[in-house]
Amino acid sequence: MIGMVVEEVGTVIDLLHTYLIHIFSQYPFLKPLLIGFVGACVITGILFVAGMFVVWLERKFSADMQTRFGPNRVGGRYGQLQLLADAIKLFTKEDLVPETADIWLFTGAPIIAILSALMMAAGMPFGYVEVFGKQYLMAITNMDIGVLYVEAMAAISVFGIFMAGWGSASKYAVIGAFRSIAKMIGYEVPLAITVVSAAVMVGSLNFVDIVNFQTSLSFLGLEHVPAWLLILQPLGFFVFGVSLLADMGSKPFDQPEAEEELVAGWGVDYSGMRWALIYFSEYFHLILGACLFVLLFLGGWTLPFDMPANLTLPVFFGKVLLVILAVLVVRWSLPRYRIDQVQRLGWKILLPLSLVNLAWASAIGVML
Amino acid sequence: MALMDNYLPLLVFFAFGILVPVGTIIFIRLIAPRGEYPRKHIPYECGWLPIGTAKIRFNVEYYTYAIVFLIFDVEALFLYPWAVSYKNPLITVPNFTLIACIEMFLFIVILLIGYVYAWKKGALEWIR
Amino acid sequence: MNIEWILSNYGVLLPEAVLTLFAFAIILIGLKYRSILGYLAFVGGVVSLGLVIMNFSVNATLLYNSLVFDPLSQFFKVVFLLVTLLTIIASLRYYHGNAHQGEYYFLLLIATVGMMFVASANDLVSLFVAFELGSIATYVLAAFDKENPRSIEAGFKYFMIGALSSAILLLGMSLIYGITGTTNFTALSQMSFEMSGYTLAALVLIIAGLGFKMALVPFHMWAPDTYQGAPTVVSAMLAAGSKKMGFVAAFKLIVLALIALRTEWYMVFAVIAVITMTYGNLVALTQRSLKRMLAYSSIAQAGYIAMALVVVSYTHVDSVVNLAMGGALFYILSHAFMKGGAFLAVGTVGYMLLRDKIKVDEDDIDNFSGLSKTAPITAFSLTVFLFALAGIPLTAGFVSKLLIFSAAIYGGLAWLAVIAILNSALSLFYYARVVKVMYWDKPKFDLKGEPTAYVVAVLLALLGTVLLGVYPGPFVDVAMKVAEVFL
Repeated sequence: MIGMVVEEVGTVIDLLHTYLIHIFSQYPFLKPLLIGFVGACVITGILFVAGMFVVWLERKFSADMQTRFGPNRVGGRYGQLQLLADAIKLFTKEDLVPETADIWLFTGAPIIAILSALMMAAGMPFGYVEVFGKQYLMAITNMDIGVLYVEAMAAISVFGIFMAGWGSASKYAVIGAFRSIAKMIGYEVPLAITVVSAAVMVGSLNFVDIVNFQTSLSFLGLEHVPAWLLILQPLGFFVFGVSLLADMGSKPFDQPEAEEELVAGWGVDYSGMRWALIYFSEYFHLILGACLFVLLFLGGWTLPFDMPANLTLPVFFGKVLLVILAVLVVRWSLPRYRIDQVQRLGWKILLPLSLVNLAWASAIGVML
Repeated sequence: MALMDNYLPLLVFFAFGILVPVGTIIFIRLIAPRGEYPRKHIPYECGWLPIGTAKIRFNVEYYTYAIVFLIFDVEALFLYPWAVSYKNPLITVPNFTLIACIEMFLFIVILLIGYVYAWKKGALEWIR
Repeated sequence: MNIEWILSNYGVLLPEAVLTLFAFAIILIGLKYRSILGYLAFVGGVVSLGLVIMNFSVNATLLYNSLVFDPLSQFFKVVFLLVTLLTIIASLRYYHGNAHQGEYYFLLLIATVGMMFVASANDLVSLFVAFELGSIATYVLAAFDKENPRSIEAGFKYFMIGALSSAILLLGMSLIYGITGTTNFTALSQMSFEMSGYTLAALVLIIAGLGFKMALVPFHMWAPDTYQGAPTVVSAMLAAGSKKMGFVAAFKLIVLALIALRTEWYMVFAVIAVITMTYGNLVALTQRSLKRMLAYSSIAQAGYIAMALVVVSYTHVDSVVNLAMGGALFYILSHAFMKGGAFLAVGTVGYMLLRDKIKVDEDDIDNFSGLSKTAPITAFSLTVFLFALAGIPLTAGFVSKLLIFSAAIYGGLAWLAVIAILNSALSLFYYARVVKVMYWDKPKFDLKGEPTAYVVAVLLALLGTVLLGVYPGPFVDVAMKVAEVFL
């Protein structure tokens, strides 16, 4: 009985499959559209949920580091439902626009911020899924210029920040926006040069190639030693990590929104759901920055031995979680730099170091 | 069809990325409560009434930074195609990797001279 | 891959490489020590010149045929380097003790490198890049005396017009690439074009783009203001060197690469040449500022040189083409000496006024009255330069005009030659006026002695001008030999 049902379902699926293949071959634009649509829905959903999770994690984590309790009322001892409560609160708050604001810039800022994060996510692969003996790459696109694309999309977010600051026309906001641009200018170059170093060593800008390269050092006869770029380019790892922290606006580099002097910097006049969108986009950037970091320097979804394809996703997200925790540790233990110190670090230390790393990478790259 | 396979989904993402925040903002405008109290719309300045405009001109130091940034960013962009073809097996020019290495070395040395110059001239000082 | 292999293949690049190295050394050393920079630049120029002359008759292509090294390119490099050396010698005094000497000599050398690469370019892309390198450095040079509003104006105008002309030139180049699918001059010269709207547009854009640089008449507006406002040493460099960059680019693009197109266009070139020389001479008549007068005279001279383009597009007889191009090359060489020398002589007077703290317009014609008594060497040299520009026998100007005008007559364009001769006669008026002021008027200011560096530079230019006029034989031979590239 059950066997018959399974068989029938199987035939139906087969029929559907052949039909779909037929349709797709007839209308070649349907498949990418479908992938895009499903992917957009799934990734947006995952990002929002993961963002909420990371917010909760950060609150708990920072509370632990400061020997506080953190959220512990709503939804049990660990405050699991705190964010749901916050969300309801935010949705029912009044939608305020300051009278001096440029309405288009003010409204456009959260749009750009979210757009940047989503477009960034669209360029990254997350691992493989094996269904019925076939492996599928969990990625919206697998571009040959993937790394460049993701970097470009990440850089767009600074427009959102500047629009927010300039558009809300409050003094704190404008100063925060200027600082943000200055910071971006200082750290974009070391970031880009480190990415180039990674690409030189691998010989490709495709994420899948980069990840496969990092599986193990088997070409040196070391079968179970990971060939992570963390090990091959420790300097690049350092420069990239610091620049990424700066680009994400994480704590030692959060001058644009320094609470103590600029109240909340470029976001000071945002409230309610508009504020939530910008706030979420920051956390998206944290998560996606961690993903980028894992893909480029921590071997992506691979471990230096064979493993089933379905394990790649958990491995990947495990690594991402570790990176996020590391970022949180840094964030809640370091004091904030002054803006001129930030510039000095970026221009006078990281930039030469990144060039040294590039020389190292191209020299090693010749040999590998 | 690699072009369509790779870039059409991005178009969908683009539309999505616009629609999600726009939808949220429209939704909020529909359900959020409204109270009439004009003082709420004054930009936040720790409780004081704002004095003067906020759209100030900022320090000219930005200018030199921006120029140096522009040069180095263009350099980095120029490095990308070089990086990809560095070990490309499809390129059959003999000694290509070595030649590419030397050429890029020259390029970066020239840039470094500019960098040293900018540094010594104080273009990289935030406060002058 | 060893040193000898590199030298045998890339050895022809040495002059440019040496100059670049010196430029970088100068800008780094200039951060600390300033007194030796000018001499360093001079040494670099001399070494580079020596290397070019050693390799004069090479025939090599480099970097996938995008650079060519042949007598034509070497000839122009010699011209550029000579002008740069003259400029450097004069600058030794003018920029003595200036806080920004490092930048000045750096830009000067880099501009020269750019011009040298233009002479070597064999590809639209390398031509454009070199053109920009040569231009951008000179924009800054023109505005180098940043305390002087005139200089700022000069630099700004030059930059705006130059940027515009670069854009126009690039558009024309992109059209050519669109039509033919290649950017290489060798490949382009073997193409056969059909005359269509696109080729028409491409040619118009290219003529306009290069016309700006050569200061041909509808595109000349920047030249007087820039030459007048820029520091005089830089004006010498611009008029005598940088302008030739436009000519070599035009020769390469129009005569060498677009050989198939040029025959249709002789009338356009003829009209441009005639308008250019006539306009330049007519406006020069009324100038009181000597630098401005020289600028307009420079426009007129560009008109004479452009006659070569007319002749070459009109006739196909090899000997006439050779004569016209050889004449143009000789003209360019002698113009470098005459015009460079004239600007430097004017600069000498300007410098003496500045040194003796006499506050007047530095280049007003009144300043030159009685110069033969206060500054005899400068006055005499300036006289020779001006007569050479007018085309008086026994000077370089006479021989070059003779060559070009006879090419026009042999080519069947006698009317063009007649117009040019009338123009020369006209030009004699305003040149002679300056000579009269210098020798017959009473001295207006009491100037104390001529600065050595300037005098050396002026005398060197004088030597060149006279040598080319009195003993032109070998130089004409060289120019004719070089011009065989165009056949």
